[in-house]
Amino acid sequence: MDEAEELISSGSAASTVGDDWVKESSVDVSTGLYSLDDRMIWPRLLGVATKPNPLHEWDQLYNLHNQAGLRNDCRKLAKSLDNKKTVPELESFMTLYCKKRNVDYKNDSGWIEVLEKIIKLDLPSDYVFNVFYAFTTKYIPRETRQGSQIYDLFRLIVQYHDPQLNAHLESLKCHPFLYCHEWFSCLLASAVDDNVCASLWTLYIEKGDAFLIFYMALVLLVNARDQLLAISHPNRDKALVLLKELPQQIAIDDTADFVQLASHYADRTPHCIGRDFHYVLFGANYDEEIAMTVPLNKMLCLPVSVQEITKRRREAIEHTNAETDEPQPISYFVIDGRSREAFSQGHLQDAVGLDCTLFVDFPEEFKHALQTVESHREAFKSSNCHIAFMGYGDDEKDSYLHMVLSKFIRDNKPFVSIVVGGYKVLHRYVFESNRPKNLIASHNEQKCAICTESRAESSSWNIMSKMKDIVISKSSSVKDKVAGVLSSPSMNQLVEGSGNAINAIKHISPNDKTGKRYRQQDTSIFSLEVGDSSDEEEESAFGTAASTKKEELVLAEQAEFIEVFECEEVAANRMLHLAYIALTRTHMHVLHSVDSRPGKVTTEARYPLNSIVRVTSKKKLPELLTFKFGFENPETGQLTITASHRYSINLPNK
Amino acid sequence: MTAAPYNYSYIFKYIIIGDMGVGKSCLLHQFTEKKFLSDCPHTIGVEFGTRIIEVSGQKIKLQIWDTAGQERFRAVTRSYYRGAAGALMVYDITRRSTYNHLSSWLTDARNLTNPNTVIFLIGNKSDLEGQRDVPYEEAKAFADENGLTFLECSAKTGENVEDSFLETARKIYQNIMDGSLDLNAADTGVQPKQTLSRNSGQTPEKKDCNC
Repeated sequence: MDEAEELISSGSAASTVGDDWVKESSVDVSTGLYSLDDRMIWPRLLGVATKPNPLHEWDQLYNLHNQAGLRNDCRKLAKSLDNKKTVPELESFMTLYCKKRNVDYKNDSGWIEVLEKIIKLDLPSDYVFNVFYAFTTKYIPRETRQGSQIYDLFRLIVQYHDPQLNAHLESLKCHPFLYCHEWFSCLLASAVDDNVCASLWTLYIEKGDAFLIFYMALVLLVNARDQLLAISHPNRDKALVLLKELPQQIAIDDTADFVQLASHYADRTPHCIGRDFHYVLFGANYDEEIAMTVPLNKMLCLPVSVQEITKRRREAIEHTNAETDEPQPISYFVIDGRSREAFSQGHLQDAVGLDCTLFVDFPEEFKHALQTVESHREAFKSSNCHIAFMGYGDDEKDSYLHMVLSKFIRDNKPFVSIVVGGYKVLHRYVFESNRPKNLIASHNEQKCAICTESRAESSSWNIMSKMKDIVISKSSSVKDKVAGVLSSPSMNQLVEGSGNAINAIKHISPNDKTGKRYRQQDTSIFSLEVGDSSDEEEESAFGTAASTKKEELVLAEQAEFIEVFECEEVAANRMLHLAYIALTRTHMHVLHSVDSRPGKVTTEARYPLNSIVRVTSKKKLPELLTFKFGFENPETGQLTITASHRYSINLPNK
Repeated sequence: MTAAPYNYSYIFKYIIIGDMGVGKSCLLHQFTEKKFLSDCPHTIGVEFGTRIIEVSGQKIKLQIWDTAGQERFRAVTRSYYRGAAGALMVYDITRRSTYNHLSSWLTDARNLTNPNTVIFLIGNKSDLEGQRDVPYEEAKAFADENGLTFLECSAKTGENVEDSFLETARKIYQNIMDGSLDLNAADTGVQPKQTLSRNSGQTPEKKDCNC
C-alpha cells in the first residue's frame, strides 16, 4: 500500500502508463473478487465480451462537422498516452463512436478523458471500442452541459440527505454545474489519478448502477460538510475551489469504502428515481424531447412512488418478523396533507393526517397538530424512517401541502419526499387492479371523492351497452393500459402529482408522429384485424420455452407491477396455460402461474415496452390478443419481429 | 389559543413576486418583524407571514405569501397567485435584469389573479443609491403605463416598506367599500371574519390510525 500512496502523493499520474500501472493496481483493487490482471472483466461486466469490433468494418469516412476539433483533442490524447496510440488511430476510433451515437463531436464532452483512462486499462484491443461505447452510454449521463437535468436531480438528492448543506450551497450560489460538471461528464476521470480511477470504475461497473455517481458526489459533499458550512456568504469562489478539489482526497485504499458509502446513500434514497429518470438521463439516444417529459428542475423535493412505499412497508414488516440482526431497512412515514374530511374518507394505511390548510389559517393549531405528528413519528417502529407527503395529486389543491413541505425542508428535516400523484394514484393503484384493499384504511365508498367521481361517470352508461361492452372492454383494457404506458413511458403519474406546470409538458401519445421515437410507422401498433389474417403459424415464444427450473415469485408481492392482467397464453401447440401479463413502467412481463401453488408465478419472458411493435386482435375473437415484439432498423425502417405471444384475456366473471 | 386571531374584520391575502435575490423575503421580514435579515437564505417554494394592520379604523390581518424567485420554483409558486387580493411585484434597483423581467412577472400576475387584485410595484434596495442601475423616473413611467402603484423601498433601512404594504391594503379596502370587489365572489383573497369557520380551527384528532 505504501507504494500506491507514494505514487499518489507524488502526483505522477500522467506518467504512469502501461504495464507498470497494471501491475501496481492489480494488487490494490480491494474487492478481492477480481484482479485487474484479468483483462476480460471489463468486457464481461459490460456485456460486450462477444461483440465484434466495429472498427474492423466501417467506411473510414472522416466527415464530422467538428472533425478538426476532434483531431486536436486526439493529438493531446496521444501525447498524454505517450503515443501508445497514434493520432489517426484515435481519430478513427472517436469518429466511428460519434457516428454510432449519431452525434457530432463536442470538445467538452468528457469522452476524451474517459477514453484515456480506458486505454490505460490495457484491455485486449479488440474490446476497447465496445467497452468504451458501453461504458459511456451506460454510465455517463447523456447531457452534462449547463442546464442539464442531472444537476437538478443532484440538488434534490443533496437536499434529501442534507437540506442544510444544500440550502447553504444554494445561498452561496454554488450551483452543482459549477463544481461537479467534470465529475459527471467523465465519471471523476479527470479529477482523480489513474489508479484510483481504474479501481473506482471497476467497482462501479460491478455495481452496475448508473446513478451511483450522484451518490459518490453526495459522499464527497457530505464529507466536506463542516468545511463548506464554515464558508460564509460572499465567498463563492472559495467554496468552489474547495468543492472541485474534493475528489483528490480519494486514495486508492479508499475506493472500496467510497463506493460502499455511495451505495449506502443510494439505498436510503427513493429507489423509484433510478427507474423513473433513467431514460431521461442516460442511454445512447440523443433526444431533446424526452428530457422535457420530466420536469426535474421544477420539483420541490424527490418524488416517491406508491409502489415503493408499499414495498418498503412490507419489507419493514418482514424484517421485524424475521428478527434478524441485519440493519433495519428504511420505511416511509406517510403524512397525509389533505383536509380532515378527505382523510376520514380513506387514506393510506398507517398514514397520519395533517391538514395543511391549518398552517396558514390557524397557525397555533397547526403547531399542535405537528407535534402530534412528530410524536407519532417517534413511535413509528422504524428508526430509518423517511417522510413522504401525500396530497390530493392536484397542484391547486396541494398548494398548502407544498408550503408545509417547504417548511420541513427549510427546517432542515432530511428524507422528505412527496408521493407521486398523491391519493389519487394510491386510490387507482388499490382499486383498479387487484391489490389488497386494506392498503387504504377507513375507506368510505359513499363519500370518497374519487369513488363519487367515477360513479358519476359510469352511471351514465346504460346496462345493455355495458353488457355488450364487457366482452370487448376486458381485452381492450389491456390494450389501453399498454398504450397508456407506452405513450408516456413512465412519468405520467409523476407529472400529475408533483406540483408542476402540466401545460409545459408534452406527452408523447401514440398518435404523435414526432420522428422515430418508437418506430417510424404511421399506423398505430394496435390493430383490429378482420377474419383470420393474423393467424400466421409463427412459433410462439412460449412454445419453445425450456423447462428449466425458474424462480417462483409471489405475484401479489411484486410491487413494481403497475397492472397485472390474468389471461391464458396460447402456446404453439394451441394448449392454454394460465398466465399473467404484468406491466412495469418500462417492461411487460409474461408470468405463468405455477400449477400446484396458487399465487406463485414464474417469469417466462420480459420485454421492454418499446419493443412491442404490434398488438392485434380479431373482430370475431376480441378476447384473443397477439403481441409482437421486435425492433425497427432505423435506416431502412424495416421491422424485425423477434417474438410473438398470444393471449386469451379472461372474461370478467370467469 | 388566544383570542387575538379573531380580533380583526378581514383577512387579505398578499403574494410577493419577483426575481431571485431582489429581497422579497427581506421585505416580508422587515414588515412582519421590523428587522433586517442580512444573511437571508434563499426561499424554498413558498413562505408565509402575517401581521395585523389598521385601515380606516378596521383591523385587517394580512396573510403574506412569499414566493421563491428561482425559475425552478415557478411551477409551484404559480398555484399561489389565485386568490390573492394584493400582489407586490419586486425588483432590485441595482440590477437592471430584475427590472427587465417585470413584464413577465406582470403577465403572470395579470393572468393568474383576478381583475381586482391590486398590483404594487416595489423597487427594493433604495439604500444602495450608489449602485443604482434603474432610474426612478423610468420605473415610475413603467408603473403608470401599466396602472401600478410604485414606491422605492429599502428592506434594510425599512424606508417605505410599511407604506407599500399599507397602501396596498388601503386600495383593497377601498375596492370593498365602493363595491368593485364582491366579497361573495370566489378567490378574491379577502375573507371577512365571520365566514371563518371556527370548526376547522380545532386540532385535528387522529382517526383510524393503525400505527
